[in-house]
Amino acid sequence: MKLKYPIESFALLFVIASDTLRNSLVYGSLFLVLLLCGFVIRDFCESLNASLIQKLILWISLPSLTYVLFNLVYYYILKEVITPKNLLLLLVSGGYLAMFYASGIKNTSKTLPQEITETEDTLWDILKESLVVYFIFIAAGAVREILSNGGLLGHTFFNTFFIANTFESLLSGFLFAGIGLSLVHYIINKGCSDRHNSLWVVLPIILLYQPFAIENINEIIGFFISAAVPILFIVSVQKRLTFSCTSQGIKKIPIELVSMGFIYMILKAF
Amino acid sequence: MKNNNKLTGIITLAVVAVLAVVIIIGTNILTKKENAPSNGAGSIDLTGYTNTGNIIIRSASEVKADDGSLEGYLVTVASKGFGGDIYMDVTFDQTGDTVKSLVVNEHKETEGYGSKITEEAFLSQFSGLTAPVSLAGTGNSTESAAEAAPTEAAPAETTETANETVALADGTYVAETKGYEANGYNDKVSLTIAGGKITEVVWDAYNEAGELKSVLSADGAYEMTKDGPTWQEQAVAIADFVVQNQSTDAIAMNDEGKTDSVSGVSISVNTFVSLVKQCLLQASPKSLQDGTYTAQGTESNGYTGIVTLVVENGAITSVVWDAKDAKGEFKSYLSSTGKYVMVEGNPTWKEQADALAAFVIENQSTGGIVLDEQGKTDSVAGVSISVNEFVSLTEECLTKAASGDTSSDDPGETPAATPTETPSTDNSEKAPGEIDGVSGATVSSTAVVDGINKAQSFIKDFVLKK
Repeated sequence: MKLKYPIESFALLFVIASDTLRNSLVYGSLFLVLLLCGFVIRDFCESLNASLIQKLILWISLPSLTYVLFNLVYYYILKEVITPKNLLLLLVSGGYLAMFYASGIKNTSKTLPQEITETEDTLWDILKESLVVYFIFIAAGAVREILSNGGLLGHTFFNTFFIANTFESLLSGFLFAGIGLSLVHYIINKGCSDRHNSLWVVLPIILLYQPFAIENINEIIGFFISAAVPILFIVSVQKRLTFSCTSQGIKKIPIELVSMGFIYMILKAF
Repeated sequence: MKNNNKLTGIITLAVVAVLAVVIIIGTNILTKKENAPSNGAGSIDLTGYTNTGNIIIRSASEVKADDGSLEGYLVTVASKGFGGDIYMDVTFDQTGDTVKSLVVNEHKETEGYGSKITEEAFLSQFSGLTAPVSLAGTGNSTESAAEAAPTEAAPAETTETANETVALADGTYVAETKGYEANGYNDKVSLTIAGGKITEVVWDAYNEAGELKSVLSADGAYEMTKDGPTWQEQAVAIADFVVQNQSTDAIAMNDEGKTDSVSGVSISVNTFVSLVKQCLLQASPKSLQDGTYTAQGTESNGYTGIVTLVVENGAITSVVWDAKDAKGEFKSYLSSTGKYVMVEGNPTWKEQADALAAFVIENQSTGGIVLDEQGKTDSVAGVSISVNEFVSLTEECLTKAASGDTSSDDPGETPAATPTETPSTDNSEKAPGEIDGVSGATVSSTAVVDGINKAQSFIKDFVLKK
């Protein structure tokens, strides 16, 4: 069955913003608002006949809204500035949200069978699955903060042997994205399908947060090498990592995201 | 129907938006502001910054006031200490010049010594201090400090050896052992100072009959080996060595008190070295200067001896003798925990070391400790271990105390002097940016200072130049 929540957007959020409970609450809540904005915009666009214009409106409005909403909240409520890299990733995430809604717009040049019109996603369909992701996302933020700081919301409750800053890092973000989304899929009883490609999630992060840097060669060449290596690894995982007896449970795990965490862990050693 | 759907969408959006704002404001109120999220807003991106050496900048973030204005920067830095990395949070003002606070989050320093870097007495010194900072009395501007302020005048040179800084009074000084130890001789050293320099050293020994070893040796009555140099020749050789070097610092001894530093000398020289030091002490200005003094020996049997001596109001108030192995574990600790056992039922090494220290405090010198050829003594009850190293190092500390030279032989962590934490130097003599290190924990204190200076250069050279 088709997933009715924007998995690419949420996967990206898991990686970049599930490091603390505060971040996951802020990013998650704002993204839920953006998700509903997208739904309302799509509904209003339905009166327009040209699907291309509908998609164009979504493609322009949702990343713009993401940019404006996050900046407004961070500037006026949280009194902070979002780092340029995170802002770029948020824009990409807004783009994936637009992609999610645009994929549901009917192509007006074709005559579609009646059953497809009838199975159009309703508000409740989208909200139901997105709320599950939202709560898992917040739980991931809480767990990661406890494991990295021994407390929540900046308050330290205990400092014991398992407290490690690694849980704040990006590689942990990938692992928790994989684990978190697999939990979501268990709850909603759906799995990833071929139409979802984890490269959409991995690529922007690799370009902005490279796992290693090469200092002794030209900066641009070094950038391309350190970006190309993890991409090659993850493509090889996508193409070659197969399971001979995959259970239904395994099939629901976004295995590339978990693998990406391990790839980052290995490459970070350099 | 479609209009109803649109209305539902708008209402849901409004409700969710209100809930989101409430959640965000609530989160913001409940979040402790000091701990800026490392991967979120407010954090400083370290991309492009290359960590080098033992000090690593782990994360950094801007510190904001309630009105959103920039108050300063929080840098989390890891600096290599004695037992491992010391993780600390340093907060600077917005110019990066002044340290606002210092918190040590994690460390593996020796309990009771280096661990004192977490105590308020040490940490509070940094609040409001202008960086780069340095340890008082060391005179060494650290790597980053030197980079940040290359035009600053270097502090007065304090790394000279004790003998070079001490103004020795002209005259002839004599020191000798007592009690005709195992070999039946008392050793005697006569040292002459002229023009502030050692001009002559004479080492001899006499027995109960009053016969001099030098004479017996020259006559062949005191023979060690048939072909090798006589005792007298060796005594002259090592005495000349001291005159030539103007100190005993270059004489490295093994556990038996023998040395390879002087050609042709194969006899035990620990007694000679100890006596020369006593002579030098006599030649030094009489009053001991307040401070903490440390002397470290050479590695022997896997351990390196360290003596820390505290002088307060011109008197020795504390002496701590300890030895550390290659892993940095102290013999006193190993002895106390039963990991370093000598003879079952006898006093432990730590107890014997404490007895010796108490003896020195009581007598205010090492003069009463008479050594035999093996470096052992009967002068202190219950002490059966070799104490030549202790005597030698304590005398070195006393020589330093005579000149007020608090510089350490070794940057390694040394046992803390008790009972009080005496500052290395008088506060009034501290230069701007100087702090008192933790007594007996030079490495730990230096690691903290270096970490702060690295954090400051990171703010200045990387963050503010961005």
